[in-house]
Amino acid sequence: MLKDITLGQYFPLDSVIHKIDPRFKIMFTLCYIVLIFFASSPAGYLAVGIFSFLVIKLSKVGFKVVLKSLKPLLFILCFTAVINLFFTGGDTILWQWKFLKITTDGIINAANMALRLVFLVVGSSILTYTTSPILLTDGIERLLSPFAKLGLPSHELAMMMTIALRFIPTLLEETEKIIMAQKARGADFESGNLIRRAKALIPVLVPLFISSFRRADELATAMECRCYRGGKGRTSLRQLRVTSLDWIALGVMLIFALVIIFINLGF
Amino acid sequence: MPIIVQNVSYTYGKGSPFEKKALENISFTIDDGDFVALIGHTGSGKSTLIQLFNGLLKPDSGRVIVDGVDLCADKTDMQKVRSCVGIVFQYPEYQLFEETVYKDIAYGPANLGKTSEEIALIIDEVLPLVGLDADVLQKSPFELSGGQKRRVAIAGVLAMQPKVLVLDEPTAGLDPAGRNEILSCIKNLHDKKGTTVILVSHSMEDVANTVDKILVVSDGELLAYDTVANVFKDSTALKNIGLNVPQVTRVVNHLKAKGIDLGDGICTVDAAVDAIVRYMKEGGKC
Ligand SMILES: Nc1ncnc2c1ncn2[C@@H]1O[C@H](COP(=O)(O)OP(=O)(O)OP(=O)(O)O)[C@@H](O)[C@H]1O
Ligand SMILES: [Mg+2]
Repeated sequence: MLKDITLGQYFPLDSVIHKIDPRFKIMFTLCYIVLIFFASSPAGYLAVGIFSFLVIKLSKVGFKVVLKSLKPLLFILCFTAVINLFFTGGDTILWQWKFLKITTDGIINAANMALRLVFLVVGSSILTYTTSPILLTDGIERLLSPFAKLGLPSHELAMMMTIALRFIPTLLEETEKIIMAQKARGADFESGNLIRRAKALIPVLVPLFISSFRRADELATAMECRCYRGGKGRTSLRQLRVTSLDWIALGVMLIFALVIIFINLGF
Repeated sequence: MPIIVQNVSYTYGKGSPFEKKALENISFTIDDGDFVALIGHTGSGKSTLIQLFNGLLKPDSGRVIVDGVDLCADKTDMQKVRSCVGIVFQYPEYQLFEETVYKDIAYGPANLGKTSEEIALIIDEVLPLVGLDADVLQKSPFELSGGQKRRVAIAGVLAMQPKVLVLDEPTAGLDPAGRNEILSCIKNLHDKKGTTVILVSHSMEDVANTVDKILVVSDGELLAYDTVANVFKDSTALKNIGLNVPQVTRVVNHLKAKGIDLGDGICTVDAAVDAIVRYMKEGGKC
């Protein structure tokens, strides 16, 4: 169950998508997210679907992994879909029972929301799957650096984001271990009512919090020992360089954006 | 209650790019009252293997049968299996969570449905086994030292009164006195109560001093399952998989190469002393 959460995980593979400059990739992802909300017709979603399919294919991560990233979202997905399905107003009523009614608008809205959520998660997962945490920080930091003059602590922000991302898999692993250990002591997480189940989580949460604080403390000490003192005057060992691949990717992205906009305008 | 492991394989992260084969086609049987060590290099699959014994992990293929109960069957009562097979995990001190040591030790038996009177008796019984004083009971587990935390965690599993006790490197990171205490407590438990014990360890000396039989795993495969003397007979084979024989056996082997033959199968200091005394009596020269 917990192993299904692959958010923030990085898959060190060798693919074109991996090689794209992180700054470009982050911008592309933002662009993609905006475009998802533009594409509100079946043709638009088809275009987004094909594009996402190709990117996943190129990234070599595998569809299974990407589909798995959706699994924890299943509940939210169904929830939003159902809410939209039953509570959207509209004239063409297909089915009605007391205050619940299904309208064509409702169906369209539900499908819209579900598809958007799916693509949203897929897009952002692909970014973290194919970009190492270090490159991701570098990218975020560079992209935020223009705002540094306005007093935005861009380096610190980027560092915080990376550390958070980096520790998601570690925390999950740790949680899994503690769950195993408590199960071996007869803990039962699967039966009983909601209150009992929530109570059963205490033996997992307490050790988890304690180890998180310990980990944070150790990390801070380790960083200090290696003379980390924030972003001031800090240079990178590896400079980000824009290559022809990035320009090609930019071209592809632009074409994709144009296609979506054209579809949206009704050509 | 014998533990029967039949052709078991286990793979982590099946279908992801991180797929990792941890166990491959392992079969063996551990009989009632056995004292078995599980040795292997780091990452060889020891911790994975022991989690099969109480159904925490389900093998991809093959079967694990404990006391005649197939752990892979869907309707197996896991709670019952877990009360029979107690596992002390690697670094068990990280699983402590209660306000007081008493409550933490009581967590396992309470989950098994023991009444508070029974639990009080059990705690009185296990506390001396792990070498703890009664005055730690009302303390918070988090204000204890690392070694004391370890003991509390082990006591927490012993309190479930398992018939099979599995310990994953229980002595890692303890001082020599602490190691010996914990090991002798485990040995006591085995000798007096007849508990079946499976001990994962990286210390060949501890293994040679305490157990009867050894399981050797390497890269997820079972290489040997034999008596201590037989496993430590072949030092080159062990060296090839990143292990070694006990220091005293190495000394005996060196002596043998120099022409002083003390005999085979010497794995403990006591055995070596006896052998040397015998050798001198028989008129051998050093
Ligand atoms: N939760 C997990 N997910 C993925 N792979 C894992 C997981 N746990 C262990 N592994 C892998 O399985 C293999 C066996 O691990 P295991 O923990 O059983 O080794 P071990 O023999 O206990 O090692 P050690 O002596 O260091 O404790 C290792 O290669 C490890 O990387
Ligand atoms: Mg281990």
